[in-house]
Amino acid sequence: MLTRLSIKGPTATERMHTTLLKYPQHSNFKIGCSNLSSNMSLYQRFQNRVANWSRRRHGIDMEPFTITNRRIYILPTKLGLMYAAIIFAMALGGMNYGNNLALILAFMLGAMGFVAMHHCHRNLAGLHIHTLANEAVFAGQLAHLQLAIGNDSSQTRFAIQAAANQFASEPVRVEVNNAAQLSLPQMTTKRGWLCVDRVTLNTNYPFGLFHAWVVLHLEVKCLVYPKPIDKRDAPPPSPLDRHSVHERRTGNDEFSSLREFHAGDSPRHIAWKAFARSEELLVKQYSSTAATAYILDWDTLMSLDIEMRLSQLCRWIMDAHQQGIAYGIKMPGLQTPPQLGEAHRQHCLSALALFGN
Amino acid sequence: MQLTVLRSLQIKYWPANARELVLTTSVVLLALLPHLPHLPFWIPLIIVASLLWRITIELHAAALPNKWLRNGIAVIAMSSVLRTFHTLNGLEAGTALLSIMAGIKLLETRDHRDYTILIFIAYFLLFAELLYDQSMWMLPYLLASTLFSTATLMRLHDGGSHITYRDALKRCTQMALQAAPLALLLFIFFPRLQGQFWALPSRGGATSGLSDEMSPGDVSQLSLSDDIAFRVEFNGELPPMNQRYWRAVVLHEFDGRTWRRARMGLGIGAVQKIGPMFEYRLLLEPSNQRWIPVLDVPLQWQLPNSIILPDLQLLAAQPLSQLTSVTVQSTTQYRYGLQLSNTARRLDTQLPVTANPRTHELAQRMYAQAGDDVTYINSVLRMFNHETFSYTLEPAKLGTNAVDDFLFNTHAGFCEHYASAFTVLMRAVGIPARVVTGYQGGEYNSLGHYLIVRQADAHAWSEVWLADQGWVRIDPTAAIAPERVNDGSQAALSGNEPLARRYLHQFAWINSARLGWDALNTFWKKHIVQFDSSEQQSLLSKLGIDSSDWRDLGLSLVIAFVLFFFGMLLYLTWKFKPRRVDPVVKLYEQLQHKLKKQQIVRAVHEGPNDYLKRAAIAQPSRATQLKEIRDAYVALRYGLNADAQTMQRLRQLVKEF
Repeated sequence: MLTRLSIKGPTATERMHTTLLKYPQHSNFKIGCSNLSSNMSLYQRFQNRVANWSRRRHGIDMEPFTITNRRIYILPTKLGLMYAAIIFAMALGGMNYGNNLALILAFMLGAMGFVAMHHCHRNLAGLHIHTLANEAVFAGQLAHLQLAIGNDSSQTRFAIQAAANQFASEPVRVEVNNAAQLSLPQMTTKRGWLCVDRVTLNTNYPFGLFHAWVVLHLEVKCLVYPKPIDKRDAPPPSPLDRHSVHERRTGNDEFSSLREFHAGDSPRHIAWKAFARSEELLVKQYSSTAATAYILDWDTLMSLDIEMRLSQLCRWIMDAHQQGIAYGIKMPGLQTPPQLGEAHRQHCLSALALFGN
Repeated sequence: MQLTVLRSLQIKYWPANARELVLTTSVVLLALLPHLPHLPFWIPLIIVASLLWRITIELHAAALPNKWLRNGIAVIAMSSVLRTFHTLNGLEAGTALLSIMAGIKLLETRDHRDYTILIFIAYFLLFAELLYDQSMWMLPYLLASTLFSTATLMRLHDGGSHITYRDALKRCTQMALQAAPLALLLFIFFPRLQGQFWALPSRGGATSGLSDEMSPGDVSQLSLSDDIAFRVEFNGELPPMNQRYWRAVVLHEFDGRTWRRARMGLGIGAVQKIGPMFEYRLLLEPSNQRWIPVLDVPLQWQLPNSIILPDLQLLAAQPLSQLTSVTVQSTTQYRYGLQLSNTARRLDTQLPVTANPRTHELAQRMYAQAGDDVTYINSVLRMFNHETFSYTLEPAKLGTNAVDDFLFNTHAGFCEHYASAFTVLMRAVGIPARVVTGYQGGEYNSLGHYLIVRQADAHAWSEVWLADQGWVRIDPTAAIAPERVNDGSQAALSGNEPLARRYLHQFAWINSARLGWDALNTFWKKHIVQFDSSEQQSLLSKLGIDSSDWRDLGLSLVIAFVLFFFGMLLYLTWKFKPRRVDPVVKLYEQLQHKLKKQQIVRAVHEGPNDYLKRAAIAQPSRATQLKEIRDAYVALRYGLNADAQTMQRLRQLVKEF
């Protein structure tokens, strides 16, 4: 297995090389450097070093990833240290007074802490982790990375939480022979693939005295569309394109007739009243003199820089989609005829997101 | 109608953390409850007040008091503690402070960290309670409240995974059971100190039992108390009932009414043993006094830093603030103090000149008749026996000349009246005499084979010095009420004993239940509460560990930890192992196992149809059998109407296969 560190196996660097070769599409995949910047605090630098070390040690995890004992780290929390100090004081007091019942209390609490450590560790061990498909977001919005946690052991797991880059998911409970979904929010700043290659799964169960965690070297990816330009700033879309007239002359003005629903029609045009009567989905058609379709042309935005152009295109796509007007894109590397529908929208926005990659 | 009332009572705003708040508060109150008797009254009031304040805040969704207000309250409370106890150190002040902290913390708890700290305070309050009281009923209380606190801690940290309180209790009980072996090992191996390394100011609690002075009425007051003074376990024979004099305090100075201890030093006299020796272990209840009651004359004892005074009072280094055990060797037949120094003679013949003139007169007259010391003593005892003296718990009040009043007017008294009057009569004619207070008798517990000595057994007697015999014990009470000395305090007072106690002694089964309970308590005290370094040594030497060597103890502790660590690891691995519960799947796995032996291994993607078809082709002789198995399996696992018959058939088929 790729993830295993074997004594006879290739050296860490060699293995890194193979992983790099095996995942050529992950252009972001540099060791822990996705958010490397020069003005990091000493602590952050230290954390990065630890992250790099652990990644070198474990390599990339294959899915589904099963948490093994040796991947789990555990340390007492601040409360755990306070608990230990209290028990120490109790043991000292009990010893000083020769008070055996006080000593029993101290020992019992101490042993409970010890047992809690084992339970905290066990609470993570043996869980299976899958990454799920993540819904694309616009830059600046919170992305929600989805992880599925499976539990096929005979004990329920509690308070399992995912965390990455100062964000954490809500803790979940994973029942026996069941799975739970974790939604890990992440800040997005720029378009393209958001690659979180260092997600930790952690737990403070049972008493919050210990914190156990696993570093998952899974490639959790989420597509980030460009940030649409503000509506106020947006110039109107490029002029109406007369020669790619759709056979369906649809517009926004006067109602003319009803026709059958096709996938991709805007829900705003569905005749809901007719649906209520006949349970047949019909779409209202309007005779219009307005635009029937747009061609969103990269070349009309000569005055803007690349990112602004992408943002502008993004805004046009969103607006056209909302208005139910077919649109096509003309830009380097992509040329689509005017179309409508969710698939088309995603296709266009993805092209914008990954432009230049 | 009722419904509307209920609805109008419904709380409009139910705070999000109400459950945590209620649980944590009840845990703290549970830990505070046993402290109530020894806290100043205003501390529970503060706690209740801040609790009510918090409830009001929560119900009205108001803001918590700000930092300045909280700190102000804390400073005021702390200075009040300082004013009450004059210190912040020590158990009582510490407990008061901790209780106040818990109360004030209620005004600022917001997040789980605060709640957790409250629970830690609760743990510490339980700990403090144990320093006050180590009685047997504390163990279940301790376990229960620790369990509740810990379950609350689990609830606080369930991270929204909604562990019900019942589930939390169950899980914590399981964890406590898992922790118990380690706690036991720690209890056995943890080094015990001899003495204290950090002496806190003494508790200043009320003293109990005998005091170090005696006025008429003191001992009789004590004899109403059923509290246990100490227990004695004899190693060998018990002395006879009338020899069981437990000396505690020797009183020399008399002001006409009250007897006090000597303020000056005395010469030391050697003890000469002339009778059998008794060896016994005393288990002394805390009295907050220094004196230790011992059987007559102690010869040897084991108690660090204890001292013996020349008048044979055994004193501990510090007031006995907790259960103490001492092993002593005593004798009841002895010669002691044959040489009497002039200072000692002056001290023990001293009498106030003006007090009790009639007693002086009587003494002179009787001594003139008797002629010598021994005859005089006997004539005084005869006077007590023959004249109209009576032994009673409720004597009449005595005037300033207490002895005159007793001898010539009331004629009724308890042991302290007789001891006092006798000693005064001796001193009046120049015979050195002193009063000894302590205990006499004791109840034998045949279930636990030990003697229970209660405060009710408190007694006072005299010692006189005779030229050829040294100090001799004379108990004037034996002259008036011999059954007091021969059969114990209950027998002597059967007439005016309190009703409840008379009732208790009347029925054999109540009596044996009482003694059984006491035996259990004594076992608890002897083996749990008094598990000290010597007990530890004897237990460990039975296990073959030399506990005097701290390296041995340390090594044992480390081994215990390591063993427990791996034991726990194995146990949890087993506990978390996946378990197949579906019997159909189990049977299918059995079949696969059997087929595997014939090299027919199921591929990961293969369902039962494909797999068993392939198996049938590989083993044509058993094709029909396999087809039947397949049908049954598919029907049971995927079909709508699975019945017990098919299940049985499948079981049989797989078994035969």
